[in-house]
Amino acid sequence: MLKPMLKKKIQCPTHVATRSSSSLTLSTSDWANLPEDIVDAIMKKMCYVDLSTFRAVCKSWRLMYINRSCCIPRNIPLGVPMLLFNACKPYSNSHKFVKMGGEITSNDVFMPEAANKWVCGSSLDWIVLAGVGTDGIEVNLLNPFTRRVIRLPSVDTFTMNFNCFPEPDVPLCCFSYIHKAILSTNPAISEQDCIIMAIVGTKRKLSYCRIGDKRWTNVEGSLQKLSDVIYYEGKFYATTDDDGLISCNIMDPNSTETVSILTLVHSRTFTSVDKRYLVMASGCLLLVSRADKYRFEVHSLRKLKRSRVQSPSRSLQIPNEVEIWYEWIEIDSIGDQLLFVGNNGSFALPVQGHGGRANCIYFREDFGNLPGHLHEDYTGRYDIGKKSTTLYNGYAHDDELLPSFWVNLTPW
Amino acid sequence: MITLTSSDGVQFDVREAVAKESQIIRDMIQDDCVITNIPLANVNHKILSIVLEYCQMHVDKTEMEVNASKHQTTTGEGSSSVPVALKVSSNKNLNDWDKEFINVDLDTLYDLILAANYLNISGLLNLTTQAAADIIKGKTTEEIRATFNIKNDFTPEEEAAIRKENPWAFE
Repeated sequence: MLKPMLKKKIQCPTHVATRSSSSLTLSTSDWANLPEDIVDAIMKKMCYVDLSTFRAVCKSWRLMYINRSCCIPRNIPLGVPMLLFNACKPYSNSHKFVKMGGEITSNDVFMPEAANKWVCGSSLDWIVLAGVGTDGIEVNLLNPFTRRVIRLPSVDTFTMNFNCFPEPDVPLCCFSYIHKAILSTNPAISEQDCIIMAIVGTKRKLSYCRIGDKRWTNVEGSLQKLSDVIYYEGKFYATTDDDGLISCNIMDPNSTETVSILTLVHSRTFTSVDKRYLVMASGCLLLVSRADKYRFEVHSLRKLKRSRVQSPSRSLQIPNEVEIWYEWIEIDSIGDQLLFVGNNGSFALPVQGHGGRANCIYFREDFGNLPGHLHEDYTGRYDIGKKSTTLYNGYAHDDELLPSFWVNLTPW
Repeated sequence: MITLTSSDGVQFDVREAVAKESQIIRDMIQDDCVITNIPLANVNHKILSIVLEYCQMHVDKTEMEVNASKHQTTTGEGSSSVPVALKVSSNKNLNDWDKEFINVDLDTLYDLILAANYLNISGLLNLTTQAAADIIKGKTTEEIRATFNIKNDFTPEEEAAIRKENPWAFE
């Protein structure tokens, strides 16, 4: 009785099926004067780049944009990539955002929630913080605008083997526990869909949790020594120290979860690469390798297909079977894009609407918070086409020993 | 069964569960259980039929899942992988259906957004506003105006000032 119903094919919606033509004609509806709560709902689904064009369309949309964004502290420039300095400054109530601009502007933002915590990541307007709390080492999400804090399971619930760091007792020694943490979706938009994925432990494996979980869950079968992880369209992608790439799909929040791991690119050996970053730029997955302090290589993930050759001994083999594999291809242009790379989060922005120089990587000193590396303070730009580096001076800050990282914030 | 009457007087007989996808109708029915005919002053028959098609499909799918999980527990087949797989595939189908469903012209989309807002159907509001945001995505200001037929009501001075709001440049 059940089976026929389950097998029922979902029909195309009838209003679509019966429609004679799907060509778009000029809209006669009054889009400019949609009710404010509806425009609000639409704005919430846009990224900053789209919002910056949206607010320039007409007076009424602009007014609604301004009304929506007026709750934001005025001293944070929106949508402008900034460096967040002194992110884990002990006993400090305010944190410095420095805008990369014609002139350097820096603003202290009152953010006592981040005092004496270390920053494990920044994605989708949220900062992932860890620090000593009442129940051991707490992990929290913090939105610097709304100062909303979301509690995540503590570090003590990791089930990774912490080998040489058995007791997580040094609050600023972040890299022994959480190397990097990212979010799948903005919890301000959908809390239940948000997965927090982290590279943890000395073996640098994946562990994840959802908001409201009591503990972190290890991703079994994952490769070790992961150096970066990002989220794109339903999947997490992580790269290893030797350029291997895996994808991780976590499905179905409501019942037994299934986690599938797929190795897309097998490990190989690059010479003298200090650090790797994954960045998603216009739908392309990029691997940015930092060969030394100031030199970068960019590889793009390429999907390859070929029909499998039929072997004469196995005549029953399905014809036209297609083999798919992936490989990294070095590229010397990313087009009209800017890449921002850093320990805590890397992202790409189009030049249009943001300024900056196309086909460049903006980077920051990135080793000071790694054990055994001497901290230096520099910020720079690497031109991918010309293979040249420009260093910016004057971005020094008070507490040289504390890490800083890129953030790009939208109003929610 | 509940009868919903559109603004232009067309009557639709639907199951209570389908009508209750709308928060506003759910509230009405809860307040007074004898209501069987609800006039909807802000939705015409063309839009109401599309809205009801959405509600019907989403109610059907939910009921199908409930039945499937009931079947699972009563027959006591141990493996929990069956309903998981089923649910994932049905969610995927429903997402595909939604995608197809929202493939409408801009005037219909506009009316659907207003209807979803008025009837307070959160899933449909989410779907329609996402569709509008997707249309805006990647377009220039001028393209957005052309697509939505919006008049540029800024003075040249105002427009120049707005352009300067993105002053971010490194050199």
